[in-house]
Amino acid sequence: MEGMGNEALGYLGAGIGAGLAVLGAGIGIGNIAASAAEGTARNPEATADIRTTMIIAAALIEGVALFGEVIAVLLVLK
Amino acid sequence: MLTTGFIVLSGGLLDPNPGLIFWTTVTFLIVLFILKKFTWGPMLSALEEREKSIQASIDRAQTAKEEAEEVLKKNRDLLAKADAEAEKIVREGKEYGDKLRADITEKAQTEASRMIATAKEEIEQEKRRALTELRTEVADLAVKGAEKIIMANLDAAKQKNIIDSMIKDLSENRN
Amino acid sequence: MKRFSALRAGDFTRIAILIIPLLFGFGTFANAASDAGHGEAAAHGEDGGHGGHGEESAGDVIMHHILDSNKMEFDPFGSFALPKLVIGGFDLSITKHVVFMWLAAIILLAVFLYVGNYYKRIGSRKAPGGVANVMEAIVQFIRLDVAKSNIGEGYERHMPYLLTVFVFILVLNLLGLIPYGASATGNINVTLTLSVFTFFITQVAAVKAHGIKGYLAHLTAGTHPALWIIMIPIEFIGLFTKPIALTIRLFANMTAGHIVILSLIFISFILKSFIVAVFVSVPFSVIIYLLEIFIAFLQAFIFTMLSALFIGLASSHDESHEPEAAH
Repeated sequence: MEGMGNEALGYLGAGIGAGLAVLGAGIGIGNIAASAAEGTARNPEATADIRTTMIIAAALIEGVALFGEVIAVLLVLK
Repeated sequence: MLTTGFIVLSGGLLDPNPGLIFWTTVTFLIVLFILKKFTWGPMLSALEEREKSIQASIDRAQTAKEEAEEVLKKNRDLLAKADAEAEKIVREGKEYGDKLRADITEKAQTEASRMIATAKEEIEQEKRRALTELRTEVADLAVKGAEKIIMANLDAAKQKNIIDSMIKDLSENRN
Repeated sequence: MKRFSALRAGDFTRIAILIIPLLFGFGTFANAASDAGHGEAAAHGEDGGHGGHGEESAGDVIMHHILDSNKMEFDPFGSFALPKLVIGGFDLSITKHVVFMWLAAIILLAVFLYVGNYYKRIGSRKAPGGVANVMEAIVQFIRLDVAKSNIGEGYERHMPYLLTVFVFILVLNLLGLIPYGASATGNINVTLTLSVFTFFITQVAAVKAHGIKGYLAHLTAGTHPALWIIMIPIEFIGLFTKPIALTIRLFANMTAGHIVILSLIFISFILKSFIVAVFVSVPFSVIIYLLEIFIAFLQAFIFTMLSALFIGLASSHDESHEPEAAH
């Protein structure tokens, strides 16, 4: 890894960081969707509530993932 | 590849820009105040009013339903009471009628038997009177006959004996 | 023949709904094409590194679309410059995002002043029709599901702010999706301002509900005084975490969406092939476009809901301290 200067390392870090952030978001939202589906299967009456909660939680998790993205972007900026 | 291209930020995505902040504030506040005065005010009050009136109608309907049920119950009670009274009246009437019938029958019978008794008594009286009359007539007739016979067989002594024995017979009969 | 005669009105609507984003995609396509025309020479230099020896690389073009600028551009029809004002050392120039914010404000005022007038005229006796009906659905939704359930009692005072912020962000987001449009919410300054508004309202509500002493007491979170020296800075920073999260969430969602769309479209330019364009670039762009429309609504709703939630948390009257909602 000798030919890599600081910039290259910066880009590398940004890429890996962004990838990990998206990975985390994917796992998190997948869990939410699974729980929501199971909850709806058990109790079809609460479908609307579960759906609202699911969407809110998904948006919040995406927000966190985008924190990671922003940090990656900052990393590249420097 | 593509990614190396677009991550390069020439202008910077995270530039602070006070001018933009100022304009944003101004625009947002203007929109907020205008909308608050002209739209959200009337709209929210109209929505609340509608909610209240719907709730009031529901309450009124509920009260009316309860009242109607009460009235219905009262009516049913009255009806049941009226039925019971009617039955009682009918029953009493029948009893009274029966009693009356029995009374009248009894009285009639009593009356009848009384009249029969009276009639019987009268008949007895009439019979006795008739007998008495008959006796008187027979006595008269007997006297007259005796007269005649006596007159036919007139003899002083015989006459006197016959008269004495007749008087004795008469007094014996009389007694 | 049989197939065509079987199409009915509903089918036409569906087809139109599917084709319009396609047209948008093409619009941005055309937009990008003109820029890519500049960057075509650079596309060859793409492989050699970043910003090689062309005028602009694809990255620059994308950034060009995302960032604020002092010119309103209507490629390929031309562009005109916006006035630059410098007042007292502050750069108050009117940039593209400011113009779009004004456009959004005008649209909002036009629609909602009509609706407000409608309600003043007709009032609450009749069921509303038309535009007022749609807006009433939105207002009722925010009033009941967002404000009332999160703030509890006393929610009427915050309704105007929540409603305004919801429709404002919504229109700004949607404006970014039309051709030649840019979403002002993709600029961190704009979202920062809105978050600061929420922050102020939250703190004022907290002070009103608990008083100054109660407000300061919340900073210590009911721990032993010996821990105060640690707690107060942490709580103080935690006070700012939520608005910063709001800012970055909205900003990053909008910006990332645009970047994805533009990147997908630029793939075909960089690889310079039609097959990729038809089978990969445009369909994916259309899909992401539809996703972006959904995200526009969703992010406006999330911003409003989280604002209501923070206001409700700050002005809650029970003294139980639940851990601050992690996000």
